[in-house]
Amino acid sequence: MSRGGATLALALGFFLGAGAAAAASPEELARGELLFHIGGCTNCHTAEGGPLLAGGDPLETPFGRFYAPNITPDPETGIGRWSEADFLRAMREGRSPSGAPYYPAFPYTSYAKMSEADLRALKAYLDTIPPVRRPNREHELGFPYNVRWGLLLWQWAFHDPAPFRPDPTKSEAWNRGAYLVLGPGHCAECHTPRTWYGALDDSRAFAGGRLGKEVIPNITSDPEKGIGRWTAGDLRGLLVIGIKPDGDFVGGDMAKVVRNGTAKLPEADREAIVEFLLSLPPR
Amino acid sequence: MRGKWFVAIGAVLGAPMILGVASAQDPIKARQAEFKEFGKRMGAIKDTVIDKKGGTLADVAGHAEYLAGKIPQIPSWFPEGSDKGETRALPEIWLNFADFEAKAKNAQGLAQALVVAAKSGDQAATAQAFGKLGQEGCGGCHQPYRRPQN
Repeated sequence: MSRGGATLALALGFFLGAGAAAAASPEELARGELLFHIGGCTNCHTAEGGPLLAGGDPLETPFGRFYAPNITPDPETGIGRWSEADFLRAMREGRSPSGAPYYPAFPYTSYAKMSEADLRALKAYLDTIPPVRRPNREHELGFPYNVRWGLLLWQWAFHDPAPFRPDPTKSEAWNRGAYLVLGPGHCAECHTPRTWYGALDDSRAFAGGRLGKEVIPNITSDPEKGIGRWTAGDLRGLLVIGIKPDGDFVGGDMAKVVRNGTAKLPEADREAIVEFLLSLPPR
Repeated sequence: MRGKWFVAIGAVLGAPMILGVASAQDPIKARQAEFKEFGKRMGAIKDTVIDKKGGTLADVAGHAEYLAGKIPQIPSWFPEGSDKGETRALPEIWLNFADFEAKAKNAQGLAQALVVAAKSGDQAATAQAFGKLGQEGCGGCHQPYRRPQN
């Protein structure tokens, strides 16, 4: 092959490669959109009344105030320059493209459980969001939480980047529900209490507690403290429309989770979540 | 003769006692009973619209009419000072009473919209109007003006 031919082949290969990365199939985009909804991206990354995913309202936590950044494809202020590998790394390892560790207020601790195919589909969908130029705000954190390198230690000690592993003794629907709840849905990030060092307390999984000003309910099958007396219909009503068994509606952040997430799921996925949640051991 | 006196005395003494019971009835307990009924009605609408287990759209319209009729009374159920006691009502209600009233008015409109949707016979529109009433109508006050449950 002549040198010119090789260059042409190389250029063509580059072109095709870039083309393949940019053009996701409609099925992949649809899957990415579903993951975008259940992932609740907009709940933190969009300010009330602000442009989609261009940065969120403050998230109050016991560790300080976080501002979720702009994740639109804007190249300057958003994630427009991120490669797919950058995105995978952020979602699984909680590291920025330059290697800086993220605070676990960004729930990569749950997103790490997502499959690679799902993460790629989500990135493809995010690439279709209109880019918005909007600079990020610094988090407002007190000592010692404002010491970023401390996060490296935290990640080393507490972050398990293993993907979700289905339980072969359980039904397919249960496993699908478990995946959605534990992975993209990141329900445990609020519904499981944290230890003083900010890691989820697995011995109290889904037992609720307090988060900032919000009281987080226990969603285990404990009949007194949890939702052990709820029927599948009760839980369905909550996930579809936000209604509780007493006819009241969920408020605050959970109202957003329902509106932007669980209400938009296909019925089979919602039923899978119901099956999984009703099986949570009482705590 | 004597018997009549007793009846008369009983009536004179008894009437204020009965009135006394009604007027001394705590506004907190009274409104909680009203809201409990709201919850029952909302639950019945959910059974029909979301769970599809009994009830017709005509029943839904009936419940929504009840709610639309009652909701305008809500501000009158919150006399000043009735945040003291066993209640989740926050003092912010009385600091922003005009807003509280405006939110009740908004909820009333959403209940009326549910009546219209249910009467039209359109299932999807009814479900949507129901969600809006719950999230924005009820939620409109429950989020800023009610203490979270412990």
